[in-house]
Amino acid sequence: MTRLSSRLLAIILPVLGLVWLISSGALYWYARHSLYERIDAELRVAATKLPLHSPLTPPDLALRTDSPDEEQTPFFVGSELFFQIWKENGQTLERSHSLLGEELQKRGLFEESPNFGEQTFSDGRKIRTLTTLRKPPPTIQDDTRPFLTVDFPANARNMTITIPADRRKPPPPAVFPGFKTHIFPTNTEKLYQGNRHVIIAKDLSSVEQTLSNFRVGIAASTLIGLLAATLAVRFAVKKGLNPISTLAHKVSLIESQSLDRRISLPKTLEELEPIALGINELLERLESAFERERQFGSDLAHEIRTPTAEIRALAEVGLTWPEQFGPAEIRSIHDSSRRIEGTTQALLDLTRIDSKAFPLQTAQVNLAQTTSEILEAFSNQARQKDLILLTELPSTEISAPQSLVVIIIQNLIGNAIAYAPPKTKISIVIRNSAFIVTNEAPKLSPEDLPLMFERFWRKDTSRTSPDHAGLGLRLVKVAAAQMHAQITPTLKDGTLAIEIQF
Amino acid sequence: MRILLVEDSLPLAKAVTIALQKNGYAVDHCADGLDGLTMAQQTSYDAAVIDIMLPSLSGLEILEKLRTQENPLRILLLTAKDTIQDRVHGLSQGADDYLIKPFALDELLARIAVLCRRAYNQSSPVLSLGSLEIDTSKKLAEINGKNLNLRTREFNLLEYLTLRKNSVVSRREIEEHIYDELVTPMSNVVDTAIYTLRKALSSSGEGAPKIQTRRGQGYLLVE
Repeated sequence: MTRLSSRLLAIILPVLGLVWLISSGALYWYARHSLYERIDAELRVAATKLPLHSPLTPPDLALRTDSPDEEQTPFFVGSELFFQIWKENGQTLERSHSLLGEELQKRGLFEESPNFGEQTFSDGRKIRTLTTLRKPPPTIQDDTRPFLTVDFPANARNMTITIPADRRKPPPPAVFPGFKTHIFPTNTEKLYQGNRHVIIAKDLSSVEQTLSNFRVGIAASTLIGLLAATLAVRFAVKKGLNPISTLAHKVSLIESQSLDRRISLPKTLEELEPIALGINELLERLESAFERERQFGSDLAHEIRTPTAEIRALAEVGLTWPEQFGPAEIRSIHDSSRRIEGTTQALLDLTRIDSKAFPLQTAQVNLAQTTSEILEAFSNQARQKDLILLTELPSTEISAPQSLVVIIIQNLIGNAIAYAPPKTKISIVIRNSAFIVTNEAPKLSPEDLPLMFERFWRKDTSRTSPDHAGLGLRLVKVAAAQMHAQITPTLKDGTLAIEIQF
Repeated sequence: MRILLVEDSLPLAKAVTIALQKNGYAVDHCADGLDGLTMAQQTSYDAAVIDIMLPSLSGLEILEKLRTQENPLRILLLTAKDTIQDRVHGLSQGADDYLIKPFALDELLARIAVLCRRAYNQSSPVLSLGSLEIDTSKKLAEINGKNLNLRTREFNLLEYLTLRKNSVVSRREIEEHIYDELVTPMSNVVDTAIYTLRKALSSSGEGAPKIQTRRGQGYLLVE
């Protein structure tokens, strides 16, 4: 059997683990997203420093110089930043020295809007890419004005020159003594005038390393956290289930002889209150059922023991004093044995109907005809008590098990004839598939109505009457229940009416 | 000995009555609890056999009322209720014995005999007075080992007088304890029985007890 604590642990721990995983995943996603945002921002910044291989883009001059100070640019050899520029026809226009032998893939090119993506170098390194489109700068008209005058400091080795937009013309090499400077053609017709497709990229190795460390940290903390949670939950569950153990102990002390006990719980344990209430209600029902069974046993004992005692005592009288034993005693023995037989038969019928072992084949039953036949069998008894039988039996057919219908009608009529005061009227009516028996019952009270269908119930608690064991109406109830027929007993002005709606 | 039988099962009451009468008891029977209580209050019975489940008044209620009135009547409850709780309840209410239906008549008779002896503080079934010995279980009365050959009525009278030895027993007491309610007070059955018993005792030889008459008081059995 599974322990409740184990079941709770089996539920709580996976839930805790799931919550932990979701929160860890969310944290990881947030960290990764932040790192990538920083990279993307870096790529955007780098894009502004991108050298466009054209003399028409003077701001790039400083970047394009192959001076020993090139490492000062973001794209130096060994840098994590890369770029590559393509012409519209797909021909590479320029690429960063940091690419070395690698080639950026032209994925996402030729799209108007900048977009980010990821690529993998041949050595397995992952890179983050920014793909963008640069339009050509306006054509520079020939200008005879002096291009620019710059006073270089003597020890200057690298500097950025900002050229006014209206004077974009490459300076002569002599302007930058000591620098190896590219000479760009001044003939604008030879310059590339089309759109430039650019990819700027950054190596993700350090980011991946950071994320990998983060993942290891999360995994380790998850394991430690789950272990700690297991111990904590186990302790909490055990502590929390203590009242249930107390409750179970209290319940285990209740036996069939002590069903009058009830479970009491401190008011602080509100969660267990419904359980305690449920157990108490169950105990009440059990106590009531046990009491009914005890009463049933007692009543059965009386119903069987008394006629058995009569038979035995009379037989002993006959054996010991034969002269005292005549036809009257034989008749008494016969009557007593019939009582035992009747009680046994009724009990057997009850058991069989309850266990559905009774023949229940549904057939067309004529209520009027069945009632007439049963009335015929009771006519002598009715005559002996001077009872007046008023019948209203229109031909009515119902679809029902014949045997159960007979039991119901027989017991209702038999009951009415047995308990109606002499010289009174008994009404037997069939109306709209309902069978109604009405008779005077001056000793009955309304409180008796629900009890009269119990086994062995008799208004006379001394159970003196030898003719009935108190099983007839119980048989009616059980048989009606089997047929799903409804019983309605009513008592008005000392007149009992029992209606069976078939 | 006179027994009150309160039992609503008429066949059973009939059988028990026959058995008791055949064993020398006088029996008064009624089938209703209230009648049974009235009879127990009005007559000095030696013992009563009462069913528990009775019309009008249950056997336990009769018992309770009698004990409340400090009536010492020895009562045997005869019932189909067989649980230990039922027996304990019956005995704790003041019953002297409890017998469950169905029962053997011999057992009932033996228990009633015990109750009757207890009424006279007699534990042995054998009574003695001088050379007289009465075996109540065998219904045998002997003087010096010689059987008196008494009829039931005379035997019952001798047994009763022996139980009340050295005490004056009134005619009414004899009627109450030896004869049932069918015997009319004006009949001379007691006189006839005393006469027959005296004759039997006097013809049995020396050492036989004598029945003395105390005028206006009753009879006294002496050695």
